[in-house]
Parts: sequence; C-alpha cells; structure tokens
Amino acid sequence: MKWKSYFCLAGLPLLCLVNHTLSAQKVIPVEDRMLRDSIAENASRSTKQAGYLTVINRLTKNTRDEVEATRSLQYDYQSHLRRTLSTAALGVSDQQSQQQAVLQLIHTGQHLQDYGFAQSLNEAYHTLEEPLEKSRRLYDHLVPYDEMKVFSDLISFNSYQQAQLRNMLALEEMSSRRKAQLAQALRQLAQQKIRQADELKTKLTEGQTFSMTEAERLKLLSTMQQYLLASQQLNAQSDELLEQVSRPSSLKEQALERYKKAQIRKTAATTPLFNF
Amino acid sequence: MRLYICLILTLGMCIAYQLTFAQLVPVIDKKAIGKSVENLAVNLLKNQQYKKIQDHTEDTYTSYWAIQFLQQQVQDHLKSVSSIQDLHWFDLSKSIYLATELIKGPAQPGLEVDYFLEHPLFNQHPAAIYRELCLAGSADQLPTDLTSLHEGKQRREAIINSFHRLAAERKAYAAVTFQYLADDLLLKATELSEVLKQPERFSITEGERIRLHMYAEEYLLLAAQMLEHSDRLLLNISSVKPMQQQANQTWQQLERAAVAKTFVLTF
Repeated sequence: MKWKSYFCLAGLPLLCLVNHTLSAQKVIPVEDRMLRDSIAENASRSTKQAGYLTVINRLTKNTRDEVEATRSLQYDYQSHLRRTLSTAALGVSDQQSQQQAVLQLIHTGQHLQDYGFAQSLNEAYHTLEEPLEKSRRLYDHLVPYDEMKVFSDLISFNSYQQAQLRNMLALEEMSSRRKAQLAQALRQLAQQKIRQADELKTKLTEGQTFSMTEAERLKLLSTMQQYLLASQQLNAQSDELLEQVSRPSSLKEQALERYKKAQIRKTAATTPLFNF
Repeated sequence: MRLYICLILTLGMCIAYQLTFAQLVPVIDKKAIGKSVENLAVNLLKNQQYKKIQDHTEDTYTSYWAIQFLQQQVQDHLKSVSSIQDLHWFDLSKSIYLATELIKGPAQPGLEVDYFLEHPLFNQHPAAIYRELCLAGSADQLPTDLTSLHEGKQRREAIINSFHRLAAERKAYAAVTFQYLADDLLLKATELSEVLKQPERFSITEGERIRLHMYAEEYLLLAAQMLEHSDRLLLNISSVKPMQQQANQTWQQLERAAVAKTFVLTF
C-alpha cells in the first residue's frame, strides 16, 4: 500500500510533464498587437536610420576620396620638387663653357713659367700653399724698395732692381694674357645672359611650364630684366680689358725700347763704317 | 497521516510546476514574426552600412596619417643638414679664415691703428698718429727749432712710408687670398650646378632651382674677376709712390758713394 502510494506520488509530476510535452506540440496562433506595433515601430525607425546611414556612408566616402586625393597630391608634389627634368633643358643650367673659361683663367697662371728670368716668382706663385707666407714671398719679389735689405754698392742694388723689374714684367705679361682671356669669356657670358633672359622670359610668361609662387616668378622676371643690363656691362668690361691689353704697358715699352737700343747698338757694332 | 503530507507535497509540486511552466504555451504570432523579419533585414542593411562607414573611416585615417607623416617628414627635412653635408659649401671655414686674416692684416709695430677695432689703444693711437703726421696737434706747440722740425719731418716720412708698406703688404695678401677664393669659388660653382642637375637630390621649387643655377653662374663670373683683381693688386705693389721715391733716393746715395770712390783721372 505504502509503496503504491509512493509510486503514485512520483508518477504525478511525470504525468504533468507528459501532459505538458503533449500540449506543446499544438501551437496556438495568437495576435499580440502591442508587440507587433512595437516591432513595426522599431523596424520603421531602423529603416530611417538605415537611410541616414546611407547618407553618412556617402559623405564618408567623399571625405575618404578627397583625403586620398590630397595625400596623392602632396606626395606627387613632393616628388615633383625633387625632379630636375623641367629645368634641365634651360640654358642657365648648362655652365660647361663658363666653368671651362674660369679653369683656363686659373691655368693662365702657369704662363709665368715661360719667363726663365722670373723663376723665383713663378715658384712662389705656384708651389707655396700657406697664404700668409705666399703673400710675403710675392711681396718680396715685387716690391720696388725693401727697407729690410741693406745694399752696400750700386751693382747689387742695380741687380736687385733689375730682378724686381723682370718679375713685374713676367707678371704683367701673364696678367695681360689673362685679361685677353677674361675679355673673351666676358663677351661669351654677355651673349649667354641675353640668350638665357630671352629663353626664361618666354617660359616664365607662357604658363603651365613652371610651378612656382608669383613672387618667385616676378623675381625671376626682374632678374631677367637685370640680365640685359648685366650683359651690357659685361660687354663694356670686356672692351675695357681688351683696350688695356692692346696698349702695351709702360714696363713692356721700356723693355722693348731697351731691346731696340741693344739691337741698334749690335747692328752698329757689326756694320762697317765707311768714310767717304 | 504521512500519506496526506505526501499528497499535499505532491500537489504543491504540481501547482508549482504548473505555475512555472504555464507560460510556455507555444503560440504563433505571424504578423509579429513578419515585422521582426522586416526589422532584421533592415538591421542587416544597417550593419552593412556601418561596415562600409567603418572601412571608409579607416581609409581616411590611413590617408590622413600618411599626410601627417609627409608633413612631419618635410618638417624634419627642413631642419636636417645631411643632404648638403658633403658639399664644399658646407665648410666655409677656409673663406672665413682668409677673410679674418685679411682684416687683421700683416702687423707692423706702431701702426696697429687698424689692427683690431677692439684694441684698447684705438682711441689714443689715431690722435698720436695725427700729431706725428701734422708735426703738431692743435693743442701742441710747434717744433721749437730747425733740428726738431727736421726730426719731426723725418718721423712723418717714416710713418707715411710704413703705412704705404703695410698697405702694399696687405695688397699682396689680398691678391693671394683672391687666388685661393677664385679656386674655391670655381669648385663650389661647378659642384653646385652638378648637384642641382642630379634628380632626387634636393627638394626645391623650380624657381629656387633656376635661381641657384644663376648663383652658380654669378660665382663663376666672380671667380674670373677675382683672378683679374688679384693680378691688378700684385702689379700695384710695384708702383707705390713713396717706395719708388725711397728706391730712387737709395740709388742716388749709392751712386754718390760709387762716384766718391772712383778716382778722378786728369789728363
């Protein structure tokens, strides 16, 4: 009896469970309006939000595109600044001839070697490196009178003066050679300046060729203006130098005169004298 | 008795069970489900848009970061000197040395008047030199007798001579300096125009590039003119008037001495 009642007691909940599972299988269709309305409201809100999001998306996309364009522009410009192609063809970038001319001018210093009588001056001019020492030596070789030197007789003083004179002569010869070269170089430079001014003026004013600020453009144009004047001045300088070279210096004239006298003397000495 | 208690307990459990699982009655609300599906679809769409926005924002961020990086780089580049470090322009010490030496000039005792502007004697020396040059300053008395007048004149001559000597020495030094500077300028101008033609070397605008080319040309011209100037200065040394006068005087003295030593032969 007791066992049976216990069995019944245990069976009841099981029965209930079975009852429950059995009843779960049949679905009851219901209609909850509040729920439906709230979901519908939610959905409409979401739709609206989706619309906004689309707008935001479009705006963000635009922003992204523009920022990327900015980035590529900056990088392009940066690489443009490093390019040399646009100025490579300009006349101003080709300075080969001018460099050669200046190098020639420096090499003209070697011309001192041609004068054997000014050997020590040549050595001082070319071998010494230290500027102060070099200037002392050159000064010693060129100055007409030196307080530090004491001369006891006329002959040694005479030979000293002769040596200075020869040094001067050599230097003057070298200098006039250099002047002639410089005159030539200056004339070339004057022509080049005119050409450069013409070329750059065209390129600066036609647009789309160079990218630079207006200040730089104006400044370059004004420089071009000055170039015309500079060219004129260079020409004048060149003429002046040529004029200096064409007129022999007093030293050279002295030397030539002395040589002429010596030749006359020599001719006179070797010409037999006829008395009629 | 016990049985009743068990029964009550069981009933209680049943009620509790009923109370807890009573709501779990499966129902179906088709319209609500429809709305939910609609909601879900819209939310999925929103999700998609969010994703896109996120992507775009990330892209924007990356690009912006790149811009910032470039700006930073340019900023740093403006401060860096490494790109011109190997050029000759970088080292101006030689030019500065030459110029300083030229200003200091060769020193001569008694004529330190323009040796150093900071010289403590700068205020006194010019007055002294003026007095010597004019034989007497305005406040001083004139030389009392002929001998002191002669002495004063000699001192004046000495000062003038040493002044000219100093100027000549300085000219020689300037001539040498100009030779060195011409060398240096040729080197620098050549280097500058070479370097400007190298691509990827400098980050400068075209205007600046053209201008620098022009500067290089200017320096070449300057170098050429310096050489000519150097020659002129050296040649100037020989034609300093007081020194030539001194030379002539010496010549006359020596000639006089030679004449004095020569016997006069009378026939």
